[in-house]
Parts: sequence; structure tokens; C-alpha cells
Amino acid sequence: MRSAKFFYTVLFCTPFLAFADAVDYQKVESWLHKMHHAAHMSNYVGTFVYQQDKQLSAMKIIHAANELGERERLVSLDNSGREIIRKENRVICILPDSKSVVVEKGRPDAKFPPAFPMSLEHLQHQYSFVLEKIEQVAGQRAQKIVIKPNDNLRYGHRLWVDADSGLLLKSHLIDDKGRLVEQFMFTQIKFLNEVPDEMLEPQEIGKEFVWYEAAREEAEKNQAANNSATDDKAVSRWKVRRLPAGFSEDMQRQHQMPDSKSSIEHLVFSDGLASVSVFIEKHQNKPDNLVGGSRLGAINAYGRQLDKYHVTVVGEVPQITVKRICESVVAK
Amino acid sequence: MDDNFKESISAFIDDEHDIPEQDLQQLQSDSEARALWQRYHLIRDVMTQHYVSRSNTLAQRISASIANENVISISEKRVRRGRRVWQQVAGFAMAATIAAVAIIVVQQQNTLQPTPQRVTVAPITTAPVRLTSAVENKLSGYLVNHNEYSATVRMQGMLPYTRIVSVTPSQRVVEKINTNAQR
Repeated sequence: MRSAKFFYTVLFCTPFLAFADAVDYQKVESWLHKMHHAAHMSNYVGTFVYQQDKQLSAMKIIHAANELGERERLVSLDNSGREIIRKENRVICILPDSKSVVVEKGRPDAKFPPAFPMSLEHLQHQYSFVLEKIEQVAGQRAQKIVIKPNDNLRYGHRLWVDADSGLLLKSHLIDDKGRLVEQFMFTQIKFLNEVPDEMLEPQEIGKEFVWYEAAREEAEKNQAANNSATDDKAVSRWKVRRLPAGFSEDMQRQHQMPDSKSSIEHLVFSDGLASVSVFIEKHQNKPDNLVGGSRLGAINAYGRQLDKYHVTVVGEVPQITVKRICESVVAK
Repeated sequence: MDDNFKESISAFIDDEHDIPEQDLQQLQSDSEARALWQRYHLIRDVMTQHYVSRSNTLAQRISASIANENVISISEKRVRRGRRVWQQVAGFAMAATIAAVAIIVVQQQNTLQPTPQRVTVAPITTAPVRLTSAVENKLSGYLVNHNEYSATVRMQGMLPYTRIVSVTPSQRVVEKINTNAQR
């Protein structure tokens, strides 16, 4: 009797549940579009707290965007002087701890403003999306969105999106046991019409700092070789045999790391929300390769030797996922 | 600085709830508050064995007693703390129920091995070690490249870069995983 009642209750409710899902799905998509737009197109200055495992930090962020592109600066507020600046398609990491500056080239095919990177239609096979209530974050009204993965191969997200501007104000990354892996939360945010240039300049870099930057000509030559998908030279010699459900190859490129003479292959796989990078490098005579698993907060890495090469997989996914991908890299 | 402020900071660290806005303002404007924040960092680091110390501290004795267990890994045992522990902070006294969290392991990897190495906790006489700075630096370089191409970056802008600049490399907790425990 009880089971029959339960059965009819479920049957009766199911159409409503499906309807609720459909409504949520469209609304979530709209919020995520708004969030993506705000991330790249807003002018603002803010401070936020960041927690990775049990480590807490306070950071300052400045972001400016105009028709030419965006510029960003992220500064650690612990007086260490660590900061990252992104502009003109370069990423400049200033690391006073090691008295070094590392310059990497940004994605050369990056369009501005960048296209919305997700297809919710594709994503809903791997995740469920729920709109929850409006909450207060940094003095602003924020829409809470919960993104729950369907398996233990990817993390879940809780997002709080500013109801007015669409800027992401708070975010939790959750593992399959519901534990918080990483979070950040704005404590102060100020939107500006224009950001003064000096706010985006790095603090003075000491003369003793060592600059690491891949030779421009090398990087450009490699990129030209990689541009055409039909060009045989550009096709990677490697493939991943066992990709987790929903992951597909996003792109591949040859790259020269700033502090190395050798060229590495970089393949990126994504399920639309989470991304994983596979780096394959010919063995140098240096003990700097990761062997086995490693974790830094939300980022997991796994490395192994493969004949004369070393394969390192890095991504904001659980350890089980980077391990699986790394172990299934094979030469074509 | 009142007890409420201290409670809210510690509860935030314990994931119990968010820091109220006025406490965050205090954190930013008050040097004493920031000093307290740093002390909590240090205390927590010692409690979870992230602090490299030469002395035979209580933290190392606890870790040595756990050394005989299989070190897992990713499944972090929840550190059980209550108000009582935070109130004992000054003396670095800890509840005996503290379980191992991420153990930083370092083995000087002079030889490359094809299989993941089993991770064990350092014995009582040895301070815990980290991944070598060469390996960590390489991973950081990979992370910068990964960030430039990952979907999350495109959604969330710069925020993934906070993973790189938020702590000094010496404080960074890069955990070696015993992947044999993984399914």
C-alpha cells in the first residue's frame, strides 16, 4: 500500500519536476552568460579572500576592459609583492620570493570579447543546475547557483552572481564528498567607469630579478605551425585513450616554456566546465618532473614517464581524473 | 579585538560559516587583526603538519603515531576542532583527535620511476618534506599555461590565477598523493 502511494506520488510529481528543471536550465544559462560577460567586460576594483584547503589569503584585483581588450592585475595583500598582470596577450607573473618574473604568452587565437565557452545542452549530461535563493555578498544581492556533477570525476560548484552586474562575487568548489576544496569571496567591490592606468601597473621590479620569457620568434613559429588543423605538422603525436565521460579535446599546441630550451606539447581537454591540460615533454636531464600524484588545493596533477617522454596532467578536477587521463596517454 | 571576531575567523577556516562583513573590514584595516590572522595561519599549519620545524613538537609526535596508517591521500579526514582547541591556541596544545590532513612529502627524485611511489609519513626524527622546488616550479609553469586555456578561466577571469599567487611557494601546500588508494 505504502509503495503504491509512493509510486503514484512520484508519477504525479515527475512532470512538475521536469518542468522545474527546464525553467531552471534556461534561467541558469542566462545567469552564466551574464557572469561570463561581466568577468571580461567590467571595470572594477575589489578585494577578496581566497581559501585553498586550510590556507587563507587576501587579494586585490583590478580589471579594465575597452574595445581593444582587457587588462587585469591580481595582487597578493600579504606584502609579499606577488602579482600577476594580464595584458596585450601576455601573462606576467611577478614572484619576489624567487626574485623572478615569468612571462607567458596568452592564447593567440583569443578573441575579444571571448565567446561563451560552455554549451549547457552538452553540460547537462554531466551536471545538474539549480537556481537557489538570493543572498548577500560584499554588500550586494547575489543569485546563488548550484552546479552538481553526476559523477566523482569532476568538482561541483556553488556560485553567487551579483544580481545587478553579473560579476561572480563568491564561489565554492566542492568535491564528491561535499567538502569545500576551494573558495573565494569578494569583501569589497567597486565598479568604475574607467580604471586609471597606474592601477594596472606592477610595483617596481628590482634590477636583480631574473626574467624568464620564451623567445618570441620560437613561440610564433610554433604557433604558425599549429594554426591549421589540416596541416599534418600540427597534429599531435599523442592521444588520450581513456577520456572521462563528457571530455573532448579542446585544442593542442607546441609550446616553449620560458625557462627551458625544449619544446613541449600541450593538449587541453574539457567537459565544458572543467579543463585538464596534458603536457608532454622529451626527457631533459633534470629532476624536475612530477612522478605520481600531487595536489595544490583545487588543482590536481599526475605525472609519469612514457618511453623517452614525460607526461604531466594538470587540471581543476579530482585526482582520480588526472590519473586516469595521464595513464591513458599513448603515442598515435 | 573581541572574541566574536576571533570566533568568526576560526569558523570561516573551519568552513562553518562565512566571515561577517564587518569582520572582514576589520581584517583589512586593522594591523592587529591581520597579525591574528597570520597567527591562525601558523597555528593551523603546525596543527596540520605544514610547518617545517626542527624541534620535536607535539605535531610531529602525533604525525609519527599516524605514520603506521596508510597515508591516503585525497580523502582528507576532517580535523575535529571545537572552540576549546582555538582557545588553547596560545600554547599550541592540540586535541588528540587531530587526524592527518595533507602530509607534505618530499623525496628527492633523483631517479625517475615509472610507478607512483608509496607515500609514508616521516618518522619522528625527520621533519616533513615537500616536493622539490624544481618540481613545484615546473608545475607552476604548467599551471600558468593551463589557466590560459581552461574553460574556467574564460568563465571566471583572473580568479584561477589566485591559486598561483595567493601564498608564497614555501607556504604552498603541494601534497603528494598515494594513488594506490584510489579506485
